[in-house]
Amino acid sequence: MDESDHPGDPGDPRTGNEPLDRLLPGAHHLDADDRSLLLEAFARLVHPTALVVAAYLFVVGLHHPGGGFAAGLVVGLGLLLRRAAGGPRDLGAAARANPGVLLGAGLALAAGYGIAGIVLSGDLLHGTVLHLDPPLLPPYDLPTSMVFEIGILLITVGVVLDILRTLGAEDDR
Amino acid sequence: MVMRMPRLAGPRSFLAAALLPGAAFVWLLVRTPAVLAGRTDGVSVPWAPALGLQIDLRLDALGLLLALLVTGVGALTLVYARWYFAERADRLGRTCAVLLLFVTAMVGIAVADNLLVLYVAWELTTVCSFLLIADGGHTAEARRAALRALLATTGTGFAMLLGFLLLGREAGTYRISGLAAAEPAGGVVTGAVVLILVGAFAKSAQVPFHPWLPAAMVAPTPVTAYLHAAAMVKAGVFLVARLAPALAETVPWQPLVVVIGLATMILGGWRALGQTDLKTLLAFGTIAQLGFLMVLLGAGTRTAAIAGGTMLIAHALFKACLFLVVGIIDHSAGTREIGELSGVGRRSPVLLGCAVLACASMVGLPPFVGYLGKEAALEAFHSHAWGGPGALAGLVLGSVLTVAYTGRFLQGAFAGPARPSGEWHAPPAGFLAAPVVLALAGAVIGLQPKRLDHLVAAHAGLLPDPGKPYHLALWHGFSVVVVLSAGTLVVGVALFLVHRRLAPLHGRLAGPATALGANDALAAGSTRAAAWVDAHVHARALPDQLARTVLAVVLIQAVVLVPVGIPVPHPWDTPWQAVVAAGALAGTVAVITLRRQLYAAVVLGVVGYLVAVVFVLQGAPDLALVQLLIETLTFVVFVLVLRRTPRAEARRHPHGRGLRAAVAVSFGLLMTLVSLTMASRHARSLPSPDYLHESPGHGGPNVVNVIITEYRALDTLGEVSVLVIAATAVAGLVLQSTRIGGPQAPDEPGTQRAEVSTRDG
Repeated sequence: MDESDHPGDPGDPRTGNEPLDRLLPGAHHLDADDRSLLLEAFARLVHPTALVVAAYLFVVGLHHPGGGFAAGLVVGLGLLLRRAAGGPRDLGAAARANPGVLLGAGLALAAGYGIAGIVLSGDLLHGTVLHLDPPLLPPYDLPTSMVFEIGILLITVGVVLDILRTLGAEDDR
Repeated sequence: MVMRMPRLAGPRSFLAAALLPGAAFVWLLVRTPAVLAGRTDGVSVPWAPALGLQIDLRLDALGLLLALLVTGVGALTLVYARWYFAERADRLGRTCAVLLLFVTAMVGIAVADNLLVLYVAWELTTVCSFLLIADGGHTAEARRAALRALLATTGTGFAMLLGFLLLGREAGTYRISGLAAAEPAGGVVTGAVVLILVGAFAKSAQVPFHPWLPAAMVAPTPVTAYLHAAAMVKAGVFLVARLAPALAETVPWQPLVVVIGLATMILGGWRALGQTDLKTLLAFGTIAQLGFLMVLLGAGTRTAAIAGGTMLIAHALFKACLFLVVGIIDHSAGTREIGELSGVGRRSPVLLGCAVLACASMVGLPPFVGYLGKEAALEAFHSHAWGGPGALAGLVLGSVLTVAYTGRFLQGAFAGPARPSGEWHAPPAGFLAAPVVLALAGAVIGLQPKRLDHLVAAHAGLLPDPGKPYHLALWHGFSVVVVLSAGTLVVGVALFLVHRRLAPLHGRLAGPATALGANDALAAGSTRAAAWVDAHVHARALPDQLARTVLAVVLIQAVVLVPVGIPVPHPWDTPWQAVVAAGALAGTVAVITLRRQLYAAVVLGVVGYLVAVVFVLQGAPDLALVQLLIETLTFVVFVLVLRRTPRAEARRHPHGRGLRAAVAVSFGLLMTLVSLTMASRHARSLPSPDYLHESPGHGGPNVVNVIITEYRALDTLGEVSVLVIAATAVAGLVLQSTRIGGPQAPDEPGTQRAEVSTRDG
């Protein structure tokens, strides 16, 4: 989702490839008055961090506060920051996925998990806990409801992205 | 998968789609000897066992007949569609998928052995036909026609469902195969029969429900060919045939079926004679034929049922063929108006041949299937069926009209010299394949009366036979029937020759006979009613709308909550809670008093964070986390939006401020009451000990998460689905106005419709 290594847009002929463009790939499309170096630098730093936090929240959700919804919200916050700092173009660079695809994939995953329960054990949304014992690592219990959680995560990100894209629609013109 | 294919392979994917009904057709053919020998296959799958609902499916002789038609003609139509849609690229996947679903639903009707299963399949065909006729809803005409078909068939479909329920309760079973043994009778059954017949009449476009069918001609030709020849409209007559063994003796059944059927046959034939559009002519012809089928399949004698089964096959073959022929003419000549066509017969002898063969079957010339059916029909009403000579006279009149409009069709489509100026693209060979197969099938099957007899008599045997057993044959010896049959042809040809002189009569008679006006009035009336409700319930401005919604919530909740009494609140667990609550209160007051929106938003965010702190203090970290994240998200979104909103607007409401305050205060009071009532509940909810007990083994020690993703996963799934729908809808609405420049774009259907409804209101 993060496009830090991406060379970014080839550049607007008006502004050229200023060094600042490397900070946020889409930000140079904004009016100079709307830009804030502080905010852009902050977004550049915080967005990857937010992704890490989201991953942490997702994994830790089994034992502590967190889970798919919270993780999705944190991913959404990261995107929101990019939108606020770099404008709609930068949001596009940060998340190329179509929100509809995210929503659909998430719903399909969550519903598919439910149906898989029917097929495998006869009960809707029935899950079990897989006891994993990988080499070199300590044994680990992985509940199959993780799949469901991933679906929720995708939907949450999709909704946030949808809202942000919608807000940005008029700026795009 | 199906939706995806056309984008990869274009119209050719219709050929791949045709494999599915084609395979089903072959399978059904293989099963045919066993089914006719009386070995009916049945399955019964529990559906909702608590309600005693079962999915009962059974392949018997009658179901086999319809399923063969539906899959066979379905496969051919799909093959045809590959060429028909050759130049179109958009919405093909949709059309293809809906057609396949349609075939499936029709097979469902054919094999359903449970009234309620049949109803589900029935309504599925209604939905599919709506989608197919609307064809994406890109033209107003298509939308109107689709709505008409939907209104005519769903409204009566509900009547039919009610009839099914009454009948099933009275008979003690919903199994169709068990109905005949139960012999339901009595006043309730009489009512049920009327309701069921209303549904069947509407689906099969009988008088007075017929207008939706010609209107549906705006759909692409493969769709109309399939809907109106082989499939959906057959559902009504099929239902009548299905229930005739059990219900034909019930009081209003025979008079209703025979009278309505004959009226439909004569009206359809007469109206067909006056058409100038080939497709509409065929549509009225279909109405006439459906009336004929209704009479035969509902009459309740063995001979009539044999005639009905034969005509069912004949009609599917010749009418599908003719529709496909018209589609090719339309494609190749660019018109299907009789006045504009000339010389088609000279340009495409193959097309002419197909049409002649199909028409020969339609008017009942030997040795086509139509001939066998018509002879049997005349025999049935000549001897013993309900109505006797009167019904026989009606059938003869209907057949005379059939001959006349068939002549008009052939002459209108094919006659005349080939004008060099006339536009004509020669159709590719594959395009012609489907009509050729259908036309030849009519002749080939007609030459096998014994086998055909075997097929249709298996079902007809369930009905009483007052005379000597009738068998299909090409020659029964000289009798009144032969005289009538020959007379019908002669008079029909004569009528065709003079029909032009009847044109003024046509104009006058056609007027009152159409119920199109009534149908449209119903549609317009419901739209107006909706607009009225919309105007009186919905406010135009968002704040008013919100106020009304909130007020409704307050009133409804208060009715429930206030009688419970106001519980005495438990002050606090730790003094910190009081501190935080005081902060939140102060923040709320600030939000109300601050004049700048941005500041108000900031303070509102702070209040939200304080609420999260309350959650933490109460020992609900999960809740607190989500509250914090949502609060942050909404706050930043808020700021993003406020940057774009005109500053003063939201705060400048000179009037109604007092009312607003009242609504707000009452809502606040209500929420307080709700919280207090909830908090004063000391009984633990029943499942909570189980949750706590079981959760560690079940996914993780975090009970909240386990509840969300395990115990209450279905709730979560439901909520998440709502979220997806809401997000998509909101994004769609907002994007529509911002992307396309909102009200300035006059071509945008959405804005136009909004304007219309405003004006109506």
